Amino acid sequence: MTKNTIAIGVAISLMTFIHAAEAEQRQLGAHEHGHGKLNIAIEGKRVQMELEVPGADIVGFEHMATTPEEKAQVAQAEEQLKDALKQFVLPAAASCTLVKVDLGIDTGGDEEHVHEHEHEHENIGRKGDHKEDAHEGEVRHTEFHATYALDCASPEQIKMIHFAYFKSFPNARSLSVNIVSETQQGSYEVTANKPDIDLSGSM
Amino acid sequence: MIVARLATQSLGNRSLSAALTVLAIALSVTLFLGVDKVRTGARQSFANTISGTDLIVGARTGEIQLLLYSIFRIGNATNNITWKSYSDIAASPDVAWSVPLSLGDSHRGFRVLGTTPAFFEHYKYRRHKPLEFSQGAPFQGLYDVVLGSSVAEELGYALGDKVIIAHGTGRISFIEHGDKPFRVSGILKKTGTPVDRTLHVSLAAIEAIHADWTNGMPAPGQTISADQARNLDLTPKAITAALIGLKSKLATFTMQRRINEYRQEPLSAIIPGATLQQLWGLIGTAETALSVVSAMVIATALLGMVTSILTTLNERRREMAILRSVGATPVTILGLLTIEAALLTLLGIALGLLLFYIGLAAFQPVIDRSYGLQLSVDTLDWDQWVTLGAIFVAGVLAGLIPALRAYRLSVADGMTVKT
Repeated sequence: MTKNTIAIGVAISLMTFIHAAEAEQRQLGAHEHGHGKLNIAIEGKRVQMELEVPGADIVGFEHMATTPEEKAQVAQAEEQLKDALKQFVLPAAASCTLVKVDLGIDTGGDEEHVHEHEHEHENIGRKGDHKEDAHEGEVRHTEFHATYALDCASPEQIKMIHFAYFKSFPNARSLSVNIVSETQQGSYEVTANKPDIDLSGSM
Repeated sequence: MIVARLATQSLGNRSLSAALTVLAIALSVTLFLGVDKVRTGARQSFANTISGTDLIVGARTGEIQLLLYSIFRIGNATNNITWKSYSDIAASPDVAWSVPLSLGDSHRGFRVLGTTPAFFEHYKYRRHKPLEFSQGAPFQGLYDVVLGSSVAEELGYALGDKVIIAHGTGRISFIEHGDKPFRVSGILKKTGTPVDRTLHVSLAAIEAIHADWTNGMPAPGQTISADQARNLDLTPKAITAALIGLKSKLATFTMQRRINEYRQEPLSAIIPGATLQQLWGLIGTAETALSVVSAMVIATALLGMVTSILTTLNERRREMAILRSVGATPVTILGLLTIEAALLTLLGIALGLLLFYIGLAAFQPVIDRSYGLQLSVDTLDWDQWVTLGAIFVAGVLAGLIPALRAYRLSVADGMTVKT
């Protein structure tokens, strides 16, 4: 009888232990100052871009903007980031127009959602369930996230991308650029010293 | 013309040292061509191996490693992924098709791949080229196997033959799944990819041959016959990796992120083409180092040639003097030695080319078998011709060093040679 009770007790505590272990998962993405990520997907006439950059690259600090200067800085950066075609210059022959921008600042906790301006109703896969160890409060790295949707009359003319982005944000040193389209998949490393991608060989 | 003949005959007189010089140049040229061949061959065979797959999913690991073990069968998986996670991902609305891959068994040094018939439909190579059958059809029965072309060729299998699969991936295996032989149901056409060196069976077959195994060994006194296994639940518990095709390219990065952040299991998703380019970035440095080394070897060989000509100059003063006495001008002497160097270099290059092609023809099957690297025996490309030309010019220029010295000596010495 007592043996059974003990066994059950052990089993229960074991189960709760396993349960607890399951519930708590510790995972954290990489965060490297000076280094951002840009993903570009092309299908038909639609070009979709996703930018993920540490706050340090964009505004030079990673805490919540508190002083008026910092707030102004963030506001200015947001204005600049919104104009995707000024930061990531595509050939004029492709005749691309920006149709949707979605900008957010990830403070390592709840995502502060800045201001969205929308020309059409389409959800470009925002991740809502993005809460990485917010409650632990130790790792507080701010990241800028931007998603852009562009319509290009002739996307096959995107043979070059010039990154004026590095001029706009001098703290940004490099960007890992991934590109997928119907005809190619590619990965490029763009730096402030070499701010161009040549796609003519692969598109 | 006469000068050229003189140069040849003079070289013939010193045939041993001339032959060694030629051999040194030849070996350096062979090395250069060999390094170049392996470099371009590796690039080509890698780039042509996979096409049309949007994402490859595996256990959380390095991107390059996942690409290498899932597609190129290089190295091994760090972990498997559970069937549950795979089904979960495969059922996502963005996914158009998915092909599970299960590796871990082998047959006489060839890998066995457990997969679904969808593999033959969706696996594409070399710019969207699909797999084709030279004989037979995809596996249908539980114990059917589809052979890659090299497997069938090297082991001499035909349709309907029996194949016994071994446990593990070594060339020599100690444990075989002898109780459950497979029947060849199809043979694929040659693709020039690792598919040629693979045996394809169904995922259920992989489960079936391990049905009576525990802890990676056949369980003693507990055998399940081939027919009994048919009645078991043969849903796999784990797979090694999966190929994913998406409905829209636009979903690629969202899907990749969703898999990378998958909560229930640590998974990685990679874009094969992008990862391949990262691999080039990594290998690029090593490639440059190899090229520098082979350039240095060529330089050393040419230097050796200059040294050997220079050392003979002293003993050839009499030869030069006699030539002068029969009317050769110092310029003729200069030409004679330059032609000598040019001849040595040219012979070296020619012999090097010969050695390269002999070596390529001899080792190509071995390299294919042990590294899965297919090096084609073809003519040289433009860049290689340019390099060979540059070696020749460098050889002639290097030959000018002893030639100029001989020129000066022959002017100074005149006819008065003191012995």
